[in-house]
Amino acid sequence: MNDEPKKPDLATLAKKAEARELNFFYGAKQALNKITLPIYDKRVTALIGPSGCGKSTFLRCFNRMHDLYPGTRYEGEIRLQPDDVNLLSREVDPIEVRMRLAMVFQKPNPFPKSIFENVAYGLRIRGEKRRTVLMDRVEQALKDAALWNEVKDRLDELATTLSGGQQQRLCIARALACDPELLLFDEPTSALDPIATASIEELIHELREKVTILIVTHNMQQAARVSDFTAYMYLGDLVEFGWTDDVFFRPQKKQTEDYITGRFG
Amino acid sequence: MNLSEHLSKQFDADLTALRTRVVEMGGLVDEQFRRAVEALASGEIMVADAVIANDASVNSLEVRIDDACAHLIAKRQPAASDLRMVLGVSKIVSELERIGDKARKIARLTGKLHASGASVRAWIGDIEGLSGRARRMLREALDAFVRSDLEAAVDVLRANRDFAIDTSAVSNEVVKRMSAQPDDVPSLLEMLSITRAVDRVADHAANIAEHLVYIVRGTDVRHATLEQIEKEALVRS
Amino acid sequence: MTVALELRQTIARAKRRDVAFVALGIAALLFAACTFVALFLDMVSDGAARLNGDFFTQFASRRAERAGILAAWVGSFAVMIVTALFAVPLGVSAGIYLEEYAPRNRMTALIEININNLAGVPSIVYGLLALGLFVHTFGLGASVLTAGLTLALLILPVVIVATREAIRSVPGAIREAAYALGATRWQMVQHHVLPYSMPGILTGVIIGLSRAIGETAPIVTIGAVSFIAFLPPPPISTEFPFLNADWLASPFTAMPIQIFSWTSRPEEAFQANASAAALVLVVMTLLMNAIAIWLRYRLRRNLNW
Repeated sequence: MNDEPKKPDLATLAKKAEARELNFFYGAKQALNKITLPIYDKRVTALIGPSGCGKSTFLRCFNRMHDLYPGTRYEGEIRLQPDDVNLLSREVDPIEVRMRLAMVFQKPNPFPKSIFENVAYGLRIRGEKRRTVLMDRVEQALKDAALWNEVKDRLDELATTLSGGQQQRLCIARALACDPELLLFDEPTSALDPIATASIEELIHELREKVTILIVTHNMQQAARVSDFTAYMYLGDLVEFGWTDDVFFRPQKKQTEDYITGRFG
Repeated sequence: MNLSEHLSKQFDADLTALRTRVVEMGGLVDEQFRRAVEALASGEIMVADAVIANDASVNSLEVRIDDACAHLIAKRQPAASDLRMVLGVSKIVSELERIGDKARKIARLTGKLHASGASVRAWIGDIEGLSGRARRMLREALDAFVRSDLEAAVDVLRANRDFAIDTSAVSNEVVKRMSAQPDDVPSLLEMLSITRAVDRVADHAANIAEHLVYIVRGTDVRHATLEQIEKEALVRS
Repeated sequence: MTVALELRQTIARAKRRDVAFVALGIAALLFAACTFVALFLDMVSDGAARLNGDFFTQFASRRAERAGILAAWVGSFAVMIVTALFAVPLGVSAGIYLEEYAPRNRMTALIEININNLAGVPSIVYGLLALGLFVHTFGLGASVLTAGLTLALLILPVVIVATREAIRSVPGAIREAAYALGATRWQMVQHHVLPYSMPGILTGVIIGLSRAIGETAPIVTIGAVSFIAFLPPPPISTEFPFLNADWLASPFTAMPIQIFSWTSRPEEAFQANASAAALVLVVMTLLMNAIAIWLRYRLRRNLNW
């Protein structure tokens, strides 16, 4: 009955992380309601949903970005494998969490420093001082981010002189340089033109071999193009989670269907 | 089936227009088939010729609807039920076009049959009865499409199973007659072709019903058994 | 056609008001500029004759034609160094703390209001405070150190406010980028916020110093002498440890005091001296502002977010 290529049974897939009954509060306002969501290892998981549905809020729980702002509170767990550590635990230092995960933001945000220093920064704050090591890792990260050929002769130039798409790939290189276990993308192409967007999407597709990716996007077609799994969120609830093929072709919930087919509103 | 409105009113209008044209084409094809069988029964060659001539408009409607599907995909990037609707429409349209072909075939054979003046009159009544049932299936399938009614679709599939049994009975009779009346073999062979054509019309109607299951449920039931289809189409609703 | 005509009349009416405001603005600007130019020209015409090498290298004197501003400009310079040494680290640290570290609560709100108010306190009040605290309680006397500390207090709010403004102009996205890579708060401040807000901070510091250099009231209050015939001892010495802090305790005079004391003399010749010294002071101030503008332009070229 089903001619589509066989998808592996979910039970056989390794999980890189898992949110369990995650609640999140901005002051008294609850922004996430009991989200339970697996993040499968070496797969791309996309979070979609209308503005204000909590998808970015959810993403930013993973690297404890909310800790930077007063009045925020987590309940529940995000377990990271292989050591099954609860990223949200009070005993776990958010700095440690952020050193294991990496994040790429909505707008390209390179430091107003040289291209080299941008990519090397994560390594520097991890105490790496050896010039040759830094050079090798920076080169590798820039290659992984498909930027090396464009910038190899101008590593000392200011990162802010790059084009928007290049800046975003530089931010990806900066994130990759420290070998993150989980790479978080927060609407990485919303500030880019279609060509730059396509190159970032291509990159995400290639990166899945190396790293587990969680991406928030408000571009549904982008989620369909780059992800293996899709989670649809609405008003802080996880409405539906499944293989992207299924969610975009025959969603189980009417709410998801309405959003995906543009009937939302 | 999701019939609530899109944010884009133009998208809604495009989809509605697409569905309307499918029904329009269904009506045209049904009429072609009716007139072909009528020509067969009455021997009016003029009517048969008109059916043959009119097949071109069926073909051009198929091309236009398919084109509209392609444009809709390119412009709107439909997803989920919308995507299945567009893909399903494209498939339904090609089933309808094939029914049109069968009508033309019957019309063409009508001319030959009457030219040979053979004694195949005895079967005409049977053919009329079968084609009436085939037309009913076609109309039911189109109705089911308009209403996204899976129960009606399953009814069409059930009817097709009985229909196949009855047409093969008629075919067997014709074949038996061949050995008894060797002189009439050429006309009998044509009669056999007509019987098969009518049987194919019912098959295409059944295919339309299967495409509807795909549109509504997202599962392709073209190669499934009737029991599997019943389960898929009815149990989940 | 009539619609288009009405439209044109409406536009014409609106544009006349535009022209009226431009005229008013230019008039206001001319008034301010002319006043300044007139004052400046008056100073130049009165004092230009006195501006020669000797004027800068001679001490004050009872004879107007032999009097110079050596003690005054060296004193001002020494006081400015002390002021900067105290105001910059204190002000910048306080600004960073308030902006990056302090929790947002009533206590910080209260401190913020106080800092903003301090900027508006009359400078003579600082002078009185310094007289009581530095001169009498700490026994520092009417020294370079006392004057430097007093003026440091005076410009501290300016430095703090400028620092905070500069820090605030560093986009949140840059902070988040550093944090997301695992930076601690101090690493983020040290590697990013401070370097990127340096142009703004420096501008604030220089504006503060250029205000301090012209301040008269607090220095008079702490008892700076107006007639002095020696310089503070040099900060570098030939003997070990080669550095010498005695200059801090030295009595001093400063540019505004020198000008003030000359203007209060009846002789016409001293008025010319005052004009010449005032001209030097104005040029010093303008020069500092020019440096601030240049620094801001230079350092900000790289920061286009």
